[in-house]
Amino acid sequence: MNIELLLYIVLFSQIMFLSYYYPSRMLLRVHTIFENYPPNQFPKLYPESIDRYKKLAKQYQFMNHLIIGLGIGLILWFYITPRSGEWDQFIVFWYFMIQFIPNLGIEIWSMKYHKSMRLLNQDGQKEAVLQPRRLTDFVTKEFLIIVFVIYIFFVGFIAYLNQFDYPWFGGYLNVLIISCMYLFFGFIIYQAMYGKVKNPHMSYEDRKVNIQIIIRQLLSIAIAATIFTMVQISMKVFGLETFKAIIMSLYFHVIVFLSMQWVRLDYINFEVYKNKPLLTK
Amino acid sequence: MRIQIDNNLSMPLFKQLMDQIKKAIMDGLLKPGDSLPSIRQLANDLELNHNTVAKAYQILERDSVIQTKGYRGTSIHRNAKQNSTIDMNDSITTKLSETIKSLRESGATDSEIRIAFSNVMSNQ
Repeated sequence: MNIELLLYIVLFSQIMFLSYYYPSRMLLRVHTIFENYPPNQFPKLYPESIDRYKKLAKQYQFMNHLIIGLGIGLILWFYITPRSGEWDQFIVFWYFMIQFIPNLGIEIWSMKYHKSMRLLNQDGQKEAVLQPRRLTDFVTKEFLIIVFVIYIFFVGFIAYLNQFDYPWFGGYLNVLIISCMYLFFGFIIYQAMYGKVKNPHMSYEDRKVNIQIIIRQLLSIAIAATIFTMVQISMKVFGLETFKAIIMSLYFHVIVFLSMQWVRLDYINFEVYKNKPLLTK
Repeated sequence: MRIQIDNNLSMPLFKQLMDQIKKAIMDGLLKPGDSLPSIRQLANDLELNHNTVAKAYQILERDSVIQTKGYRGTSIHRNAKQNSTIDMNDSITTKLSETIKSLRESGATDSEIRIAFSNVMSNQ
């Protein structure tokens, strides 16, 4: 198959997966919550009016539609413009960054949402479990060993290639970048495990599941990013740079797929978002 | 094993924490050697100041109810059960005051509360 055609297919798949399928799944989830857990029965779930959340959901959908349009335009531009192909991977990368913007907005909104929940929380009773949380409560030792082994293998891989004096090779800078990513993910995991409670109403069981999902996602992404870096470097070594944009696009598919580990709605305890019954005479 | 802290009670938060840990030990829910969460974890879970939890842990450690062993963290002391005595008067008075307050707020008169209280006590 023609490389150019393969790039169009993979890029089209990236557009549809990241800007159509992923947002559709997220919006379906949000609308299911709106329908099954309405504000009159679950007031603590809505620190602000439901109309505001519906408006935000529409804005999120609209932004993704714009990004789909941009992506289709990009493929058309690729098709009609004669190019050398060396900038393709940068274009794919920056397009992914644009695709990420609505989800970044969701993250920022989520922080504000939890802050409003905490400000409105009048409940003086707080509950905790008298048990220390450990990393192995959330992921198996085997999984942690795999992450560690892949990291060590990556360091060995860089050390090995460093002997050959490739003019383009960043050497141990690659190790530094990947190590910083591991440290950053470690910090997020630490905050999830021991940091302040974001959602004051969430049950302890749900919180544990959430922590588990965060840890699994970040460790899986760390593995994927490390392998991807090794693949990118290997492709350069073997002169397969024409495939770089395609591999990068596939990598973004994997990253987003790994980020889609959401808890099933029927597994979440929504009873905590109901008001406590008032004591009557 | 869960503990619950109530900001609306008049009893200091560190004392609520201490009493619940001691009660869990006396009830056999916490046994010698069992690990306790770090100060940071417990303070953040209960949305308390770290110093409040640190104070409770310090007093419990002084009374040999818990012990801290460097990086191993905090655990229940081997003599914890003997050292875990709770002054029940304080907690009974606090709980009863809260109950009476909420009953009054819901419109019950003092005499109704007294009659109901003596009825409940005599039925036990």
